[in-house]
This record gives sequence, C-alpha cells and structure tokens, in this order.
Amino acid sequence: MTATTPASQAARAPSPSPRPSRAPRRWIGLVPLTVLCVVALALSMMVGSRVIPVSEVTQFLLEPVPDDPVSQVVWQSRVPRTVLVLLAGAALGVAGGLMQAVTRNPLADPGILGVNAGASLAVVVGLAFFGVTNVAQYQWWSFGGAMVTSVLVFAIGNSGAVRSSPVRMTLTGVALGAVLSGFTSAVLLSNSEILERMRGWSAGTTASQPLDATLSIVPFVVAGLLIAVLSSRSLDVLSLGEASAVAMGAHPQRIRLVALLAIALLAGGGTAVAGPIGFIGLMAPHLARTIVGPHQGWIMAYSVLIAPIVLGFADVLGRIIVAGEVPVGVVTAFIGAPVLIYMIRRHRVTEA
Amino acid sequence: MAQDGLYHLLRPSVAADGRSASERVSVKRLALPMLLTASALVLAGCADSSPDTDSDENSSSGGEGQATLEHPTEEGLELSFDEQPETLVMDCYAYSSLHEYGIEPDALFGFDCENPFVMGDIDISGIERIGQDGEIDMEKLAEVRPDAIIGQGDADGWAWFDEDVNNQLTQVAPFVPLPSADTIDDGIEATRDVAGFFGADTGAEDIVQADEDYDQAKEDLSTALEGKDLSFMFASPTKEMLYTGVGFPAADMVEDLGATVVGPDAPESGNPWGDVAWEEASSYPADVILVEGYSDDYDFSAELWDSLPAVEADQLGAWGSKGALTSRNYADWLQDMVELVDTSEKVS
Repeated sequence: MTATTPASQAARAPSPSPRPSRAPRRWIGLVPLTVLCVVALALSMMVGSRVIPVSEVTQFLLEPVPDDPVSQVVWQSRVPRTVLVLLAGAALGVAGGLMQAVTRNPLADPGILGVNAGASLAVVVGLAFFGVTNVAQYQWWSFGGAMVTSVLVFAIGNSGAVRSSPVRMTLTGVALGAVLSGFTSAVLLSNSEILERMRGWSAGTTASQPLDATLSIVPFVVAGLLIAVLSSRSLDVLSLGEASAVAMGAHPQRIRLVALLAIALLAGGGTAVAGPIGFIGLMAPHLARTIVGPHQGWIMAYSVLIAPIVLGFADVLGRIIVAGEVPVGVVTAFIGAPVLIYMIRRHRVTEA
Repeated sequence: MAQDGLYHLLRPSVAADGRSASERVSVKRLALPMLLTASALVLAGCADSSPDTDSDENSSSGGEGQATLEHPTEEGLELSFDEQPETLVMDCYAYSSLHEYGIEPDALFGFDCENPFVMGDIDISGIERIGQDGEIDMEKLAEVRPDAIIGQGDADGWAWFDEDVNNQLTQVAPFVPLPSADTIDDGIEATRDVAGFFGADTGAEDIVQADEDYDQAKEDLSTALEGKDLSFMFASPTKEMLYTGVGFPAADMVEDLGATVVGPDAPESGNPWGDVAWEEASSYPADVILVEGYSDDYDFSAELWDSLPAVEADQLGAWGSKGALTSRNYADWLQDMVELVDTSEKVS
C-alpha cells in the first residue's frame, strides 16, 4: 500500500484550468441591452398620446414642416423627449451607481446625498424670489442647486475628526436633504402659486422640455461620464474597504471627491432637465450589478443602457395609460418600488 | 358637495391633491392646540351658538331676533343663529363675491387672497388675516369670536379642511358654504340670497345697474359672436399638461351665447377639468384661448403651446374658474370678451 501525501496528490492532480474571464460574456450582454435601448428610444419616437402613423413620424423626422401640427408634435415633443430619455436616463443611472459605490450603500440614489433636495430648493428659490418663470430656466437653477449641495455634502461629510467615512457622508446627505426639503416645503406651503408651478417639474416629467435646453446639458453629462469611467478602477479599490484601499496606495478621500464631482455633473444635469425622477438611479445599477457583478466599470456600462431603457418604456407607458399623461417620475415609482421589493426578497441586494 | 368648491378642490392648476395633503399634514399638527382652544371656547359659553340649535324653518328670521338661513344651493341645509350674525370670518373667495354687496369680514383666510383676478381691486390690507392658503390659526379664529364663517365648501365645512379641522371650525361658529350652481345666473342669484341674509341691500342702485350691465354684456357678446364662427378653448396650461374647462359654468354661458367651445368633454365625475396631453393640444382647433388667470404679464411658454394658432395670433383672453360670483364681475368679463371677439379672427 502506498501512502500518498496531500502534497503528492496535489502534484499529480491535473493543474486547474484558468478561470474563464467574464469579460467576453459582459461584452456580449451589452448587445441585447443596446437593442432594447434602441427599441425603447424608437417607441418613444413612435408612440404618444396622439396616434401618428409610423410612416408619418418618419416622414416628418426626415423632412420637418414647421407649420404642420403633426410635424410640430414630432419635433417639439417626440424628439426632445427621446433625447431627454437617453441623456437623463444615462446620467441618473450612472450617478446612482457612483453613489452606491462612494457610500457603499446599496440603497443610495441621487436622493440620498441631498442632490434632489438641493435641486428642488434651488428651483423653488428661483421661482419665489428671482422671478424665474420660463420652464427652460428651471434647469440652471436645478443644476446649480445640485452642484452646491454636492459640494456641501462632501465638505461637511469630510470635516471633523472622523473623515473619509461613507456612513458619515451618507448621513450628511440625508440630514442636509431633510433640511433643504424643509425649506422647500416652507416656501411652497406659504405660496400656492409657486406650488402650482413646481408641481409638474417636481413629479419628474419629460413633457414640454425644449430640445435645445436638453442639449445644453450634454457637456456636463459627457464630462460626468468621462470622470466616472476614469475613476472606475479607483472605486473598485475603494469597494475593498477603507483600510485595504489605503494599503494599496489609494486615497479614499480623493476618490470620493472626484466621484462626487461626477455625481454632481450627472445627477445635477439629469435632474435639471427631467426633474427629480426617482428609482432610476437605484434600479439601474442594481440590475447592472446583478448581471455583471461588483465591477464598477461594467456597472456603469450596463447602467448607461439599462436606465434609458427603463425610463423610455416608463415614459411611453405614461403617455398612453390615461387620457392626458402620467409624469414619467410617477411611472418609474410604480415600477421601481415593486422591483426593489422583489430584489430585497430575492436577497439580491448586495453591498456596492 | 358644492360644485365650485369641488372645482377648486380638484383644480389641476392649484395642485389639488399635493397641496391638500401637505396642508392637511400641517393643519393636523395644530390639531391638539386647535382642539383645546375650540373646547375652551365652547366651555366659555359659545355652545349655544351651535348650528344644531333650534331653527325656524322657511324663514330668514325667527322670533326674538333668531335668524335662520335656508341655504339656496345646499339642499336641506338650514343654519340657525340666535341673532342676526354680524361678526363674520370669510375665505377670500367669499369676500370677493360678497364685497359688492357691502358685506365686510372681520377676518380673512384661504387661497388667492393676493390674486387680483379673484380679488379685483378689493383692498384687504386693513383686514386681519387668520390663515393663508390651506391653513388657519384656530386660536386667532377663536379670538375673533365670529358669528358665522363663510367660504367655499359644503354643509360639512370648508372644502380644503379635513373632517377633524372642520369639526373644530364648526364648533367655533356655523359654517356657511358659498353657494354654487350649474349656471352663472343661478350662482349669482344664490350668492345674492346669502348676501341678503347677512344684511345686504340687494336692491341697491349699483346692484340693479350691475344686473342691467350684465344683461347688456350678454347681448353684446351674443351679437359680437354672430357670423364670426370663432371657437374658444377654456384652458389652464401647465408644463406637464394642458387642462381644459369644457362644462364649467363660464364655458357653458359663453356657449349659450353662441360661441363654440372646444376641448375634451368634462369627466362625468371627479375632477371637472379635461386632461389634454401636449401632443393633442392642436387636435382641438381654437381661434381664441381663454387662459385661467391671464393677464398682460402672462408668460407661460412651451413649444407646443407657442405653436397653437390662437397663441401665435395673440388671441388670448382671461377667465376664472373662481372669483366673484356677481353680475358686476361677469358684466365686466363679458365686455372684455366682446372686445376680444371683435379683434379676433378665425385662425384654427
């Protein structure tokens, strides 16, 4: 009888084949998502409250007739809304993923760091005290509010003895958001006219947003996306934990600052044009993480597609579900809440 | 439920649901102090002014100074007072309607108190304000010790208060709902009945003159509309949607005078406003658009709104789903309509 040691067994055992890389599968996964995204955007162009044959939409898309009411619908409603769905969706989706990474909180979305509250307060202040009346003006106030809030959250969250704590930053965002929401409520409750004007924007809607106004946020969204992509590896390191990240030579605080800049650009831009749409920033990165795992770069890539898909289908649904329309922010809440509950029940909610 | 009250309660441009909810929350926070104040007042001797006290049916005044209001539009509602009510608290809609009859409030509350389209040129600076929008200070209300509270609503109380707050309100004084009716004429008449109960001289010269002007204005508009073939849209545009007012009393009146009113039919129940997605706005060809609360500095802008023929032609005018339900107010509005019709052309 020959005795064998574990070491000798290991030596004789066939060498394990290298673990197959998931990258090709991730690349392949982008294909159906891209197709779905194109379908969602096409539906956004073709389906609306007013029934217009596809051929007519296509015809006026290629040859606009400024005085024709149908051409006006195509160019003043369908096109701006579709572009907005793509831009705002991508921006909010990636911003949500970044927030979940920075705060290491799987429930983070653009609301949790006070970005929506800051944007809303800024719009209310603009309406109440600075004579803002035009819909297109809302977005710059919203954008400014989101940016200022982001900077404040970072400054307060990283001041004092215990710095660089994601929990501290999250709490700062929640607290500041509550304070800002309180100010917003105070103004709205004492001024029914402002409340009336705020109603549509605060629900989150793609209606009546001019194309040029939507396009004006493109530079901010592109800049935000670039910063997000460039910081993805650093965020992966950060996801290993504060101590591990420092041991690997990373600078957590610097990473968070850069990520927060991207969040402000993306969430601020998306919220500026579409209002504070909920759940997109929460749902898209979650779905992405479920598919690709905890790799920030891939989460971003998938979120860029998933968020416009969800937003596009939700917007189309809102256009046809009732006479008149249901704002997309309401529809995403209806979709998002059950999805979130489902994810929680299936234990798919994991740390970012 | 009072129809005008319902209109405002559900009115889309006034954020009916959202505002009501938030306001109710804020009012509920005051519920305990309100309840204590109201209870103290009741214990102090105001219980005998409850609307449940004896009434003298079918009369506006009873024995030994007692007065009973048989409400003109709230079926079966009778409000009895030990004596003719003199100290009055009103919401601003009530004051806008009763001011013309010389009925003055001791305190005001409610929505649109600063809205010139509702209040006209009424100066309210010298009148105590005990509430703003959907909130009311019950302590201040109790201090005023009103004999009656008048406002939009129904037999249960003010349209924008929940049941608890209305219970407290009616403990302080009987609530007199502002009349509502299906037609402007009926509404004016019913409002006059209420004004008469509170002591107005409804046969005064200026009231008679206002009635004559109102009748004349209706004739003038009817004449102006002849041969014009203009279509009108009663609208309230917002960023998310265009709301239309088919079936509102003002729209019905203009239609009766010969105009064509366009827009989706009024819903059979619930919110009386028609919902029109912006894509469908041009499906309702309007030569003239009457915008709720329109004024010279009106500045709403949205691409599909700006593209409507009536907007491009600047054929816009004003209307209100609320405001003074008096012959003077509607005489003036109809004369403005005559001018608008005279200067408008078919563009749709």
